[in-house]
Amino acid sequence: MLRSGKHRQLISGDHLQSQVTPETVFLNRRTLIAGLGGAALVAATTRGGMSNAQASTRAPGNYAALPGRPSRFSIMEKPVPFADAAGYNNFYEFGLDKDDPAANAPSRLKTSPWKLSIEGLVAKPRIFDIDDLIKIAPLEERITRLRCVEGWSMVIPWVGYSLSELIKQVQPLGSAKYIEFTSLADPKQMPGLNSRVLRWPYHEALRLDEARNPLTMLTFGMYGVVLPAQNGAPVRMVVPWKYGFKSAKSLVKIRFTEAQPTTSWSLAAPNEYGFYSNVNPNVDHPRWSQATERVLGVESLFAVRRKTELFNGYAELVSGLYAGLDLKKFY
Amino acid sequence: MHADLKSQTRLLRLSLFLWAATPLVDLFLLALSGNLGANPQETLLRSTGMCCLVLLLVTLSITPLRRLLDWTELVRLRRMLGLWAFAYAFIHLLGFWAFEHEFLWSAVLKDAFKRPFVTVGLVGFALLIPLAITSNQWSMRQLGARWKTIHQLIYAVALLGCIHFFLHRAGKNNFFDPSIALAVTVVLLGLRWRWRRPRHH
Repeated sequence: MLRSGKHRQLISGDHLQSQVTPETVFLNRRTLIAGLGGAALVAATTRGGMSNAQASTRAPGNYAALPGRPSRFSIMEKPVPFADAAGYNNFYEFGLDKDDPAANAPSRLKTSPWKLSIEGLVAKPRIFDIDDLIKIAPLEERITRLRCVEGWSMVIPWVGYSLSELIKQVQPLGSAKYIEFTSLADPKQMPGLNSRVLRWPYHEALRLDEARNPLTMLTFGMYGVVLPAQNGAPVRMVVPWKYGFKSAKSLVKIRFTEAQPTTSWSLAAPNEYGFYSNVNPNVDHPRWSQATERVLGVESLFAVRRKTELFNGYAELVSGLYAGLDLKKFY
Repeated sequence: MHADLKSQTRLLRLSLFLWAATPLVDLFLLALSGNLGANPQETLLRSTGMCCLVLLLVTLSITPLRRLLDWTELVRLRRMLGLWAFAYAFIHLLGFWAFEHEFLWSAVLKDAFKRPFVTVGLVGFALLIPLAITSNQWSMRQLGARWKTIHQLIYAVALLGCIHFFLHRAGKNNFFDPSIALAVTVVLLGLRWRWRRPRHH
């Protein structure tokens, strides 16, 4: 059922170790130039480039370990360096620029204690403590490609388990058709809440059958460690066949509903961001093409853009969910 | 006194040259060492774009400053700064061609018909070309009074640059930086307008 070229059972658990590239020489971006007094112009114009000297796919030692068993859902691609995944983020609650979350979140986001409330049309609503939530099912490490709607992608080894394990526990009622995800929106911790780009708290949603698909992942870690704050600690979604913004971060509530919930980006720009937001090279964003993507974390500046795949390469596993659905209309 | 002013200007010119060159050198070195962040192409495009806009505005501020400080020598700096702005614009365009359209000018052209911010950017660059080409003594002599007319295009270029910046930021509603650029542009153009000499025919 799974294509052998892409989704292969991993034999060894230390595949990541074998893919570590040699560290590049670290060059302090300011040492050569600052002396010429050019620091001001440089700072004004080149802010946002986080130093990426260590092309290592290993997490730095100061993160708590969170290993996962190899998953049959992993793609056989090399993950981007940890510094990229943890340094280039869209997490507007912590600022609109890509380097804002890494700069602001770690010192502000309090990830313990943390509660995730399961509510709505379920037989067993419950408020989980994060320490209990993480134990519901064995943790897997899944290497998936995160495809951002902006037109770039990163291969990231996430750690978590299928959301269906959690759904089983809370027993949705027959009337439940959708799941709504709500992220933390605490103005005391999140300086970006002043932004009017989105209405807060951040909301996302899936159809119940999309949520039950084993690919949909409740995620607690990456690169064998707990999620950094900027990546949506301590618990987030990963929905690999949809654009990245569907994978809500820092979840506080999961609610089962009968009616289709509104999602933050659909509210902000309904003609640009739809409920489904499945990765689809045939359906352009109104302001740019989705036919190709820039693959991040590769060596060459001039690497050819990758042809985007329908459902981000997961068609075999998810296209059944959309049989008969006009994907251009229901974007 | 006069000699002092000349050497002062020469020193200022050297400093400004180095100041303008610094981001380019910096970007080049960062690119070589792989330190441009997770999306180096984006960093390059944004940095060169910003540098171009900043230099355009600095170039536009020379004449008002000359008048305010009564420092005619400042005009000698204007050509160099203007050419630096063109240099960054050119590299910015090359980057766009290389990274967004994989070295296909046909794709760039197609994009110009599709996306307004590309259209505006290309038109702005196109208008810069005659300015760059005529930025020399020979052209000034050949063109005479027409040289000044041609170089008034810089006003349009500055405005187009601001619009390009705004359009690029559409969707994030993060218009803080483009607003500052536009405000500075409007002030500089406003001063020029106020001080414009009546035409002599």
